[in-house]
Amino acid sequence: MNTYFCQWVAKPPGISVRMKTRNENNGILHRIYYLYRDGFRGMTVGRYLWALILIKLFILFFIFKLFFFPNLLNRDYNSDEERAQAVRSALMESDR
Amino acid sequence: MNDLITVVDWSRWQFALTAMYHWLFVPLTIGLALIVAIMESIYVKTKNVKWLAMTKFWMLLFGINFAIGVATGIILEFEFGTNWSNYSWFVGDIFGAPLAIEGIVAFFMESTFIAVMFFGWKKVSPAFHLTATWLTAAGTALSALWILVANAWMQQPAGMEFDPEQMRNVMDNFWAIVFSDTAVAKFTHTVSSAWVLAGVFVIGVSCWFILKKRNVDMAMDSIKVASWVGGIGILVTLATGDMSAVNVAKHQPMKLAAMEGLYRGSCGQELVGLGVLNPDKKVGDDNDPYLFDIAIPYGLSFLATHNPHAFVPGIDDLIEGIELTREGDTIRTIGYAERIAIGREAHEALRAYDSARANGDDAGMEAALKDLRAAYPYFGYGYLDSPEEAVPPVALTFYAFRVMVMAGGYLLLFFAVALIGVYWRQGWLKNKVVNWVGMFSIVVVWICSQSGWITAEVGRQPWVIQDILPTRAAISEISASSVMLTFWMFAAVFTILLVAEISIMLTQIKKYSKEDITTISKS
Repeated sequence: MNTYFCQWVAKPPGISVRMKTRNENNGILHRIYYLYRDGFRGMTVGRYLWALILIKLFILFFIFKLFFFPNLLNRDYNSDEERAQAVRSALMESDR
Repeated sequence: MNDLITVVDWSRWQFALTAMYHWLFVPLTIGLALIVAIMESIYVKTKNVKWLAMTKFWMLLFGINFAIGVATGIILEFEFGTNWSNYSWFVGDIFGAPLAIEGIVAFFMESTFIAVMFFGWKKVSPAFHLTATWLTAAGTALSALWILVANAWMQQPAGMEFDPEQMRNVMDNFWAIVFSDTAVAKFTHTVSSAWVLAGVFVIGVSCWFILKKRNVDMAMDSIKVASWVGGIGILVTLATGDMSAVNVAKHQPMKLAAMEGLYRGSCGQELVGLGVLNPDKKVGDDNDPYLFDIAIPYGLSFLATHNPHAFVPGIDDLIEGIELTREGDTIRTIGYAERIAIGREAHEALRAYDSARANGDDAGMEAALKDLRAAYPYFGYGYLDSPEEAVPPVALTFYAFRVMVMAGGYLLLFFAVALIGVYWRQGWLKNKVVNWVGMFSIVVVWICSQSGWITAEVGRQPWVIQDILPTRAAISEISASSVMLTFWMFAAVFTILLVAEISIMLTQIKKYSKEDITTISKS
């Protein structure tokens, strides 16, 4: 009787279901976290590749995009109407 | 005007450089993902550690290629916003929607499943890992789908209506865009050609293993898988190439004429298999277009229409609006001078619409809109000064097409030899000359792949959107010097990245060639 009681206290049926669900959710999140964490830690060639990717992304987005490739219509005009008018002028001028 | 031409030319060179550079990586990613998925499937089925080693080795090369190639396509989007802002606005959501889908699909599929592929060997079940590998393979092909749909729309505009108020084309039928003749042919042709490219790559690298007498067993089995993937790929590429030729004949006949260097067409038109163009040949003159040619009778008529006796128009015929019946009777079509006149009417209608709108004249707007809709299919011709401007660069299109076709023919033979060699004549594959040919073929397949794009994109000039918008009207008001500067900056960055990729790949190939199968399988 005492043993059953102790087991019930340690793992009550109703609560155990809720705890199991929470544990499972945590398990999935943990597994995803550890998948990425261990994966990144265990990389060999991947380290060089990630370094290359980051350098490349920096060059693309912080140098090329920022300084050399503005979206001209977004930069120079405030509304879609103005942009449409600018393109209208450009396309109608270039046929003359 | 000269500055405009310089800006257009430099912007085109820049776009070509970035697109071709991006295309060095994409087909290998698509094809190698499939090969890796097949190898892993065999491993899961057989539990043979050799197949696990092969899967891991080719997956590593896939990863290197993916890492170097990733985000190189984003530069094209930068260029749309800066160099081609008129075009970007004019195409509206037709281009935006497919590219947005591509971005979302690529991000979720690739960031999730590639991580499982590389990090999940000991973390997830073999079945789950295999599923992730197959989903990565599917995801790479799906990523290509949307950009190819957008490209196909430029070659065959469909499923849209021009809104003069917004000054842009508005999508009115998504499925007409996705399932246009050109989109279907382009997607299947491109993806199957990616299988071919990856097949040759795997065989070429395996030939190096055999030449060095390292992991020969693994190399032979790699050749088996690659031969099947590449062999099936080349047959599908041929079939879809045929589909593309019929579509080009229907929707872009001027491109087909340029691909053939054909100025005067005929019924039962021959196909020039091999030839040298006459550089003095001009539109409308009587000079022979070829200095030398070897032709296949009825070939072009059959290729373009599947009817060996059909009429195929040449450049001069198209300009003059001439088509012939099988009996030789002349049928008048809309000649290019007339198209230019209709295009100008469309422009006038657009001006009339704007003027009526400014004056609040609803009846005037309606009348102008009706005229605009009627003339819109030839809107782009209104920008041309003469019919000759509608002729693409013939020489580049002609030679690029021949390089692609000849390399494709060579690759068909290549896979036939590889399949026979790997199953029935293994001695062939241990021959040094064959090994060197296998390695050299890696260069051939990339040239073939790039030539296909040159044919498709140069052949559609002067149009950025077929018949609707010429390239020179699509350009932004920017200085030529800024485009030249970024062109050379791109060239430098791309060269460094390419050297990095090749050197990392070669290092890994050499390293793994010295490892035994068990070590590779545990890596």
